[in-house]
Amino acid sequence: MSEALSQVPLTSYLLVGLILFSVGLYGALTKRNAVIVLLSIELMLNAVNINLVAFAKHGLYPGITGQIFSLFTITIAAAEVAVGVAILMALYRNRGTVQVDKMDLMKR
Amino acid sequence: MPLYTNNYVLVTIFLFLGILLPVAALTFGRFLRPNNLYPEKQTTYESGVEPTGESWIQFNVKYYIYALLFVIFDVETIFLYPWAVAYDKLGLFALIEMLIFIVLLIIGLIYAWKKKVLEWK
Amino acid sequence: MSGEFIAFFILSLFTIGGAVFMISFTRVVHMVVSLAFTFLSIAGLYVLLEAEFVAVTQVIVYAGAVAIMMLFGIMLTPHREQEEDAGRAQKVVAFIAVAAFFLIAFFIIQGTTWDPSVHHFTEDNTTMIGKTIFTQYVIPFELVSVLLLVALVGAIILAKREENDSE
Repeated sequence: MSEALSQVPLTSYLLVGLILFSVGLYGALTKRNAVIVLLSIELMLNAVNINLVAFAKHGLYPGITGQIFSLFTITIAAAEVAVGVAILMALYRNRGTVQVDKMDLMKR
Repeated sequence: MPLYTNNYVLVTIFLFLGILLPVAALTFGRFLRPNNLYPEKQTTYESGVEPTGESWIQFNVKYYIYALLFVIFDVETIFLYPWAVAYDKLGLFALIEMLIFIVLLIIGLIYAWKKKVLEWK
Repeated sequence: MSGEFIAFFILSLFTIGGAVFMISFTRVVHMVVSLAFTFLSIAGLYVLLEAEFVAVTQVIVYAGAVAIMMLFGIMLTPHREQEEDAGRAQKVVAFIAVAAFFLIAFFIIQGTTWDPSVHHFTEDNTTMIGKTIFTQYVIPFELVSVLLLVALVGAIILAKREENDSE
């Protein structure tokens, strides 16, 4: 298959996904504002989606299933953000802050 | 297949033209317009009213409910679209599935209605 | 050097650049705008992978809905002060952990022999997705509607309470 040589290889897509995931993980671990932590988690979900869609075209078992999985992931992410922001607002109402290191009621 | 992918060359050209046009228009405008600034000219235009405060203030929670409803029904559209495209190959069973889907989301809309979050007091 | 390589290079540069800028900006609103840029570039990557419907979904849901939602989350909570990070020690530990994870995954990806064949979808992408969702993935699809209903009701309950308090 001569066409396969001119294609962008699967490894490149996996690397983009890996870098995105690492950046998102670092943000989720170091940022203090809870909204930014949610943003970083979205970044990690996107990295997973890139892998799913890449494996829908390349690899041993290509098929449409990867794309459908990523559609479901996007749906779950939207619902997660909706509830997450609502929880943050409830938290801000009760505690007056959205800094993640101030949410330490269970530690006291 | 290569011919099909080449359609995206056109998309790229349109994208670049779309970015280029406002940039070029504003750049030419900078050279052509007379340049005498005074403080009143540099304030933000708010329909003729004097602007007060800054724009990064805290909003009311009511706006959030509208954003929430938008997101939920936005996601519903994502599933309606492939159903509508593949409808003639799917038949009655898919219609019933989609009806269940829509009814469940309408229950959510009725809940929001009953909770009076759609009202603007 | 084909056009696909150039497009992939530019799009992945924008994707990673937007993500790195998001981490390094200090103003939260700038962070969201930079992340929206990343989402749009990822939609471009999906087009390269022949997943057009997923690309459009990415633009509608992520760059549209999720970015708006995040802006609301920022506008409804205090955001005036500059974003402050965790302490230096925590940052270093987090960086080492992430770097270790990155290196392990990187060498696994490089060390695996991937099947070089490329699958081209013969049918129209959206039709194919519609047919597969409504025949093979019926139960996940119906569960999605239940999930959306629960998310809607739960978020309304969480967000509505304040109006009663303030009155």
